[in-house]
Amino acid sequence: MGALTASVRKETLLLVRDWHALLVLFLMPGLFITIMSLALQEQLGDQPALQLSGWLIDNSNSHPEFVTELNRQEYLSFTPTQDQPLALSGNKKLFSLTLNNNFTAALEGTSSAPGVTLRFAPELPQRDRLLINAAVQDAFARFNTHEIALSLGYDRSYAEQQLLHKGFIKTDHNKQQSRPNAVQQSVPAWLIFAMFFIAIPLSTTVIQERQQRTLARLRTFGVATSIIYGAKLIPYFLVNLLQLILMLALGALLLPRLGAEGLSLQVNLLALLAIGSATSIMALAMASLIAALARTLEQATAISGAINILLAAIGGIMIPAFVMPQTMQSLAKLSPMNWALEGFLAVLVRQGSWAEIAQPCALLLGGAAIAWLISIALISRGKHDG
Amino acid sequence: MLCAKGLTFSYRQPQQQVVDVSLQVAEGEILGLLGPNGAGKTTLVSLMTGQLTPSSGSITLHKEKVYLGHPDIALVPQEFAFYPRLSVAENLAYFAGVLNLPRKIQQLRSEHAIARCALAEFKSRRAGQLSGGLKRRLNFAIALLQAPKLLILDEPTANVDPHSRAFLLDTLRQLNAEGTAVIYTSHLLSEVESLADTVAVMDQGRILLQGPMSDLLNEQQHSIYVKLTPDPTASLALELNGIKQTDGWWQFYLAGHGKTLATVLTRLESAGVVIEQIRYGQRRLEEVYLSCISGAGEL
Repeated sequence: MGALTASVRKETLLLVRDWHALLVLFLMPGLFITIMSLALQEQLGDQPALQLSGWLIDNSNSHPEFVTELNRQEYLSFTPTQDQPLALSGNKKLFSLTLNNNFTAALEGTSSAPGVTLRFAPELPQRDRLLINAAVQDAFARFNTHEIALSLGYDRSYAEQQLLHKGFIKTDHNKQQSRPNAVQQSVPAWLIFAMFFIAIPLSTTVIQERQQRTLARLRTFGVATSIIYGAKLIPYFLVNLLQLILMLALGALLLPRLGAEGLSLQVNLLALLAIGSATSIMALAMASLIAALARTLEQATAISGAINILLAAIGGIMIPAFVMPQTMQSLAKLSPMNWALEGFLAVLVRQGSWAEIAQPCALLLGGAAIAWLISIALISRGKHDG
Repeated sequence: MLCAKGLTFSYRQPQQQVVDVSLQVAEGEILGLLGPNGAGKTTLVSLMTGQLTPSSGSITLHKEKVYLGHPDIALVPQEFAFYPRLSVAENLAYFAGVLNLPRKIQQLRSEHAIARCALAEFKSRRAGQLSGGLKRRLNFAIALLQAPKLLILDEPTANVDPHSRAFLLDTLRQLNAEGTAVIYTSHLLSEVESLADTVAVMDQGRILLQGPMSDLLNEQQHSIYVKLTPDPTASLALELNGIKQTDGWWQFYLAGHGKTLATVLTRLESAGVVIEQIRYGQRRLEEVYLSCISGAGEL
């Protein structure tokens, strides 16, 4: 058994026997993910399709094409009726549209009275009133264009293609702007939070070794510092990967049974592994830095906890960054947890390619390199100080 | 074997330093290193194991410069420098493993250390659950894995019960008899007196006194022990600087009181006291140590 193998084995045994650390690393994120996924289900869930129901009173009885155009409107549904309803809110019909009996005259310009009258329930929000108005205007514009085209001897297809310019306006549902649902937000967010929590057990073992002079003894055994510290990183990296697998499995398999949306893993799993590994490397570097900075176990625990919570709070872990004000969103970009989260969301939500995780991975690895350089400088200085 | 010449080292704190220390440890010798807290013993141990680099002076082992991780030097630190969550066997397997030796030799050394320190029945017990004495034994056993030619023990019996202390000292004597040189720092003078061939007394980073134990203890025949009948009167005892010991012998201090053996005996006989037996006194290490430390104006 070589020094590295022996050290990795030792670190693994120490970690496996540290029940407090295992609870923090596995149970805590599991509970957070479950609770937050269920709690945020409505806030971050897919919005139900907007459907506004209203009464249609056709007093004109002369323009079924206009009624057809009205019924084509995506967000409106009409229930025909003969009489003007007295109350609009009683049976979930929140507006009424009346084709007045002077509709034809108004259309031809021989009557100044309106051809169509809209009435709204008092509780109908202004946004919905504007939407209904716009939809009716759109239906009328389409109907009128067809009418004009027909009167000039063109057919409906000409009106559709040449006058209405079908396809002229296209709504592009930009993948980059996709919002994660509750599970897509909670699983990577609390997974990242837990991955960074390895700082506590890792820095604790380093400080215990330093305080109990085990580190000094190992050096008298001729063990290189790189092996002593390097051996600590391997089991914790594997723990981070195990966290990744278990939390994704929780999101994909358990949460749907609890009534939350399931996490789809029909994504680039290798890209997920890459961003998970980069996150782990950053977390290990942070832990090493804390271990190098802290002198006592109390300091290590306090610094690890405080830094993790701060990075999580500003990094969009506790509150999704997209609901934050612009200033806070800019601040979020300073947190390594946000870099990691952006990488995970690129894969899990936007089915992103390797190119889309390149930047988060580069930021994480760059940050890790800086943290490690500082740690090595601090450890070297500490060694000479005795 | 080990030769330290003109060692000087300074921490940032001025009270913890080593100033111009020179020491020699011969093959198969036990050196007792004594000194009060803060004397610089642990710093000197760190220099001798290569954990610290002296700002001036040199340390060699067999004429080769001492470096950190020297295979012939093993340290037993004051602290329990092992892993409480690992068992005794796992601790030994780990420390044997980092030596990068063939697996067979690792196993042999582990078994040897377990046998030597009588830890066989505690092999599977977590180190953190051992008694203080057993923890000391494990701390000691780990150093034996290196099969050192020079074993340095830094206060190895602190807070240890008498049984475990006796066990540890016996084991050290056996090792020494097999050729291992030992440097032993301790507050317990009786331990050093019973164990060491040579002694060095250190205070404020300096070696105040060093030499073979027998020379230090017999340096001056500074008192005599006499069996008397009857006991001298209190005024006579006071005049002759005599104190009655619990075993019935009277001790008369000569050195520092301007008395000789002849003047004391003549005065006793003239007072009608019969001298039945007489022997020269040997100094205890404690006296040497205290006179040395107080002579330096410090304690």
